[in-house]
Amino acid sequence: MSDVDEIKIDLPPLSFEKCPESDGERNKRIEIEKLIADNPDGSIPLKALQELALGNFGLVNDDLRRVLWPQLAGVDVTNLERVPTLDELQSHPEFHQVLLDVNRSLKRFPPGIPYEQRIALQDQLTVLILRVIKKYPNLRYYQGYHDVAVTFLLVAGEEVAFAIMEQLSTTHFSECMQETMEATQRRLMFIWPIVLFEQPELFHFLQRSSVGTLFALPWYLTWFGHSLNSYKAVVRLYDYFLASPMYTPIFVTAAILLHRANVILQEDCDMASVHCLLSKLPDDLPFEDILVNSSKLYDKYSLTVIEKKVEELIQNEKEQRKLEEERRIKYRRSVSSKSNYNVSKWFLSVLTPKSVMMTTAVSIVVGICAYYYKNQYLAAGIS
Amino acid sequence: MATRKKSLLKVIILGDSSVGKTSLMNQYVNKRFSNQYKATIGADFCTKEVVVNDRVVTMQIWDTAGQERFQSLGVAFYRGADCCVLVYDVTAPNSFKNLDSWRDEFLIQASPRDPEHFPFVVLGNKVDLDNRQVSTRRAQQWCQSKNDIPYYETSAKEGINVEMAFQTIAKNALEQEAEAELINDFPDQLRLNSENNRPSNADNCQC
Repeated sequence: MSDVDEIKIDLPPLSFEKCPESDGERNKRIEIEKLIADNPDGSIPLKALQELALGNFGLVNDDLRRVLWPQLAGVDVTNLERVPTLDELQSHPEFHQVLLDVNRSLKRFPPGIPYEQRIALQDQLTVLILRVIKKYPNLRYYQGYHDVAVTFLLVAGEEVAFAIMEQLSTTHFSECMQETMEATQRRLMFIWPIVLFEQPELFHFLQRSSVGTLFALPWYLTWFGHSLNSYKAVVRLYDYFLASPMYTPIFVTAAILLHRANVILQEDCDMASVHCLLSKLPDDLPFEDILVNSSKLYDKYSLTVIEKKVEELIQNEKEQRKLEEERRIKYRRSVSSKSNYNVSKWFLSVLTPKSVMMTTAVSIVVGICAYYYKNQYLAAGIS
Repeated sequence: MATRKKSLLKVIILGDSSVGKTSLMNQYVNKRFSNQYKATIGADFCTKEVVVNDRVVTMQIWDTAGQERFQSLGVAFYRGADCCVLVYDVTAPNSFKNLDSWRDEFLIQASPRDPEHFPFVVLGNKVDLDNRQVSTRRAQQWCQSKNDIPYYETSAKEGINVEMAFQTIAKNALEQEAEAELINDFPDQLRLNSENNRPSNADNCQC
């Protein structure tokens, strides 16, 4: 493993999809560039910056993101920490797991990236992740965390990416980084009340299929970075999430389900089919519309109301499971009492050598007793 | 319901991170290997049609995340499994040691009716690599000690033994199904209908 000082490279802007700028994107870019120029220290007032990141096209391109993401994430880029070497971090208990995942993150790098550059970036990614979890021993690494880290590494470089990851790990992702995934699992259930309030038919269909929330787990854990094929869509969503309160990915998830309601309702209502349909995000999702809708949903439903409903749902689910278990036991009992097969099986099982010997022994004893009493009785009768 | 014939076999693949679960599934279903798989988060599945004992059945193969912290999320799809495939990497002794806990965890979460006789199959993967660390004998001994679990040494990369291993998986899963029929399971009509209506030409990984 090479030393970090050796692998440090001047990051050329990485390009993924070189698509021409649309009119809307150009206008937005010019607007942002003007705002940066107007502010002497190059920063934009936070409120205005958040609105830019939330609105159509987000922060438009990676050059602007490189400048604006740190501010949006609330990190101070003038006071960055020294980057440790990979050697210093190799003894970390999670080193092996992180390395395995980083080695399997090839698809997150621009196609055609020179081999040496990619290897260097992957080493930086490993360092970046281990630095955070070393600094915060209460935070646990999870598979998918590397998908978040790589996005910031590619856009902002390793020093700034660390500052951003540090910030996000202690806020947005802290729940996912707990010892177990229990809290995350419960958080994902927040999708259901939103769907129920908006489209009861869809909600009941999804419940009937017993699909659960597993399909949304990679979305939530990686801010969709793991699941979307389009790099452009990923960074656009990151603009949105950086400018949004925690748990916003839940609302985006609900908005996606609502957007796809018609397709979902046509699917076979079983767990596998629905899980399969939901996990695969179509490439042509109109994210700008979905994000607008997500923001509307966020304003419409308070987290307290949602949480209360979630508790109700969990309670219902528990009772349902209990009922089903009882029905199952009853059913099995009724079947076994009717079944001749089971009676004969019982009879055969009773007919063990031990039981045969016992029965024989008891019969002999009873026989002897009967003989003895009979003799006694007869003797008494005669005399 | 006693004569119910289920045409769908549910198979769960478990094992440590990076032992090759996704690769084995893809080699079996699509006859392809790629160095570019990403870590699995949550779970995905593939389906494949197979002929076992002159019967056409659809195998639904669930691929899972290997990191320990994801284990507890599996409950929903562990249930109703007909066979569980435990995978380790022959170059990674720890992944072999962990087979015990993967097996135990599965039995706890799936709670099959007859845990002693639930069909498992063990695959020692990556035999194409030079730096082997777990011997065949050691693996076989472990399998024998667990009620004679069938054991195969595979390479998802080169396609070694993959087909044969999955044939056994399908066969044992089907036997498990047959036994379940005999004991007369709780009827679950809604599920059965939707399974039987599935288009029958699908060998794919939609997810």
